[in-house]
Amino acid sequence: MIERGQGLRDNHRKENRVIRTNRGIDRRRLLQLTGAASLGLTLPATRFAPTGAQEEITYSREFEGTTLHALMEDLRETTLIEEMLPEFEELTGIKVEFEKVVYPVMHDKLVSQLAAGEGNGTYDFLEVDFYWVYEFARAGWMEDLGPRIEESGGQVTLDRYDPAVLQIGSEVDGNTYYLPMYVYPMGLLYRTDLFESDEFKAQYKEISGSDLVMPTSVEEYVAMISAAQQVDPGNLYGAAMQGMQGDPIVMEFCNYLYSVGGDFFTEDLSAPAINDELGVQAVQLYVDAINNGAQPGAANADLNDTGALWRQGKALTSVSYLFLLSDGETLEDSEVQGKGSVTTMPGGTGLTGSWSWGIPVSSPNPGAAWEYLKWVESPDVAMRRALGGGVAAQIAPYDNPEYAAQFPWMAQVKDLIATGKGLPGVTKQAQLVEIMGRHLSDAVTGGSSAQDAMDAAAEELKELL
Amino acid sequence: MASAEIAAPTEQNPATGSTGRASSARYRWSLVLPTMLMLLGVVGFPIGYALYVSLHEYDLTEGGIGPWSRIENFRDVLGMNVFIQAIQNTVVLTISVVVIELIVAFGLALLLNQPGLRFKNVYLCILLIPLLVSPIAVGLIWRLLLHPDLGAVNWVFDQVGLPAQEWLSRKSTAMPAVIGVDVWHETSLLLVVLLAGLASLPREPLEAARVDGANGFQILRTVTIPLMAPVILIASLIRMISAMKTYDLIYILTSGGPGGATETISFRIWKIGFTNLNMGQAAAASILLLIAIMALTLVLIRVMRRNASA
Repeated sequence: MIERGQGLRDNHRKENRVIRTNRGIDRRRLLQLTGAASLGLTLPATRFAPTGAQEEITYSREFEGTTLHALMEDLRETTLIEEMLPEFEELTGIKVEFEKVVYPVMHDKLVSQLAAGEGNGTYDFLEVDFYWVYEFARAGWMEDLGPRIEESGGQVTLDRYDPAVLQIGSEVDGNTYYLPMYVYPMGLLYRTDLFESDEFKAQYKEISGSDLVMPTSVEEYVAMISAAQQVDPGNLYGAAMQGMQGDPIVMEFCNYLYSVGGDFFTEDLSAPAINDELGVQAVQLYVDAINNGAQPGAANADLNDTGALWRQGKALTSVSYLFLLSDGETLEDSEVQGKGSVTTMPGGTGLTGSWSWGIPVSSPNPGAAWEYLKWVESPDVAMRRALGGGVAAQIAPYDNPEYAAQFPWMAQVKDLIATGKGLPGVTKQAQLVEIMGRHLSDAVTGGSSAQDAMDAAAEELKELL
Repeated sequence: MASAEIAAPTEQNPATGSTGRASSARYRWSLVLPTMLMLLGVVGFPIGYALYVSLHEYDLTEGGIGPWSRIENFRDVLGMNVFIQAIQNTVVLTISVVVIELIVAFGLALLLNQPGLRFKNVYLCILLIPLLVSPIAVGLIWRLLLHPDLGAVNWVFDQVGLPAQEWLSRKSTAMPAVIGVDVWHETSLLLVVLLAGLASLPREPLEAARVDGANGFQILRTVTIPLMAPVILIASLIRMISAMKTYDLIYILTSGGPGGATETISFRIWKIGFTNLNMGQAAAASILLLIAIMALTLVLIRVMRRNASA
């Protein structure tokens, strides 16, 4: 994912933030909610009832005096956890230090540490992006957490999580190498004010000859944004798109691919499928969208560009991450406060990414790291992280009335997660993204046809099987 | 004592019984050895190790260094269309930026070297500003300036009646845009070197040419440029080597796109190493780049020596 000049934009991309919907939440209410969230974070005594047959969690003081080190992406979730770390130190005597960096440097730094060999690394536990999970696990760099989960006697359970999230960022080849941390699903962001505006709808109908309604397929979506592009040329674009070679274009394209029913490989991962009829159709739709329904320069745009365009109110839609909506709703300079909402990708299946926790084989203190994982993913701490603005990986927050009241849009997020897919289970998913990014970019800029580009991509993808 | 030994290298050293020449050689080696050992450690070892890795299978996801693979990694790398495209892009980028920057920098250096020029230091300071900005910042600044919708470049185009361009998102304009940004950023470096060269030129040949009635262009062509040739060659060499390693600007501006149109060798090596995790191939590609740079350096040094002896 990389996508990594990605420094700022990628850091930003992964950021999950407090957002609100357009359902009539005014600024005062937002401030009240933010205050309540802050209060929740500062009151360690707050406790939430665990789900199911949750055992009481006990912490060992066996590792007292140990200092754990971890490489963390510098974003809100990290800060939320960092603020709670004194509680963990009080419980276990273990100190935790975060090395906070921007996203694009994480993979390189982690790989060189993980290859250091058993016990020789710097980092005691990791946060792992969803398309490193196979790579790290199959390289033998990660500890199988299954035995530890079993030995915990119910203190750590996987039924806290949505099965879709476990599939994307936890299980590799039947083993549990990771515990989900938080999710970042993609969906269709749209401007409710324009969808409800009689004037805009009339202008749209005059151009397209049809009513402005929420599309139900990718074809309809591309037709809609292409027509919307002509309503107020230069001032309003059909979609804010991110076609920069690499992670941005691939992440966005995945939504098109999955929603037309295509995939990168056959189901049994025996051959590439990206150059089959559905794959090529998805590419052609994506090319049409970027050429006819998106802002100028979309073929080299990244998340910062689409975010700026969205906040300026210059896009009717965007297939993007939730935080784009969040920024639009909450940032001071946004022109679209109270005007945005999100739904599932037309066609039904979008991309869902996630971050997970893991313990590397190179960890100098795996036992203490496990105590940390037990604590940070305990229902209580996970709930407080969610109430602080995180997009929860655990199920419980979504059933919490306080969470639902604070973030009403989470009902839609739950749908996005349930219907979303990750990347195929090949070991080198980062390489998959690199290959696809290059060939998609070639197709988008007219270097080759959709079919030729995907044939070339398929040739290279074969090497990943 | 050292000076005595050097002054009389053949005399017998009464203390050691050895000849002065031998003692002098030992002394010289003792001075040079620490530096050589240091160089061996920080330059020789990494290069040697890279060569070793390049001749072995080494995929990070498959454990440590694998079996000896002879020249398989080199063959694989040279068989990659994307690597060949990266070589072509690097050649285009390198030649373009070196030639353009050399011309612009030499022109500016000549202007700044005018006798009696007022505010020379102010001009120089302004011209040096780009050099002080990090490539990452340059990339970010120019990404905004070249933004199709909001960028100042398209605004200027609009003001003079030219159509707006999607500078970084079209194959036809992406590389020229990258070259333009690089020229803006790196010309100052050549300017400093060339200006120093011009300032140190002997005045007599220039004055003699003037007395002989040569005009400005003739003086430039027949006196200044020949006298400046060694400096120009050194400046070109330095710039060429750094241009061949361009990475950060590409990373920020285009990420190698669109469709690989701006991907350079260094960028591809990073991709092979840290995305594909194939360290054997990445090392092989690095060795190829090193060989290219060394060959270029040797050619230029030879040309320089030939010019000097002529």
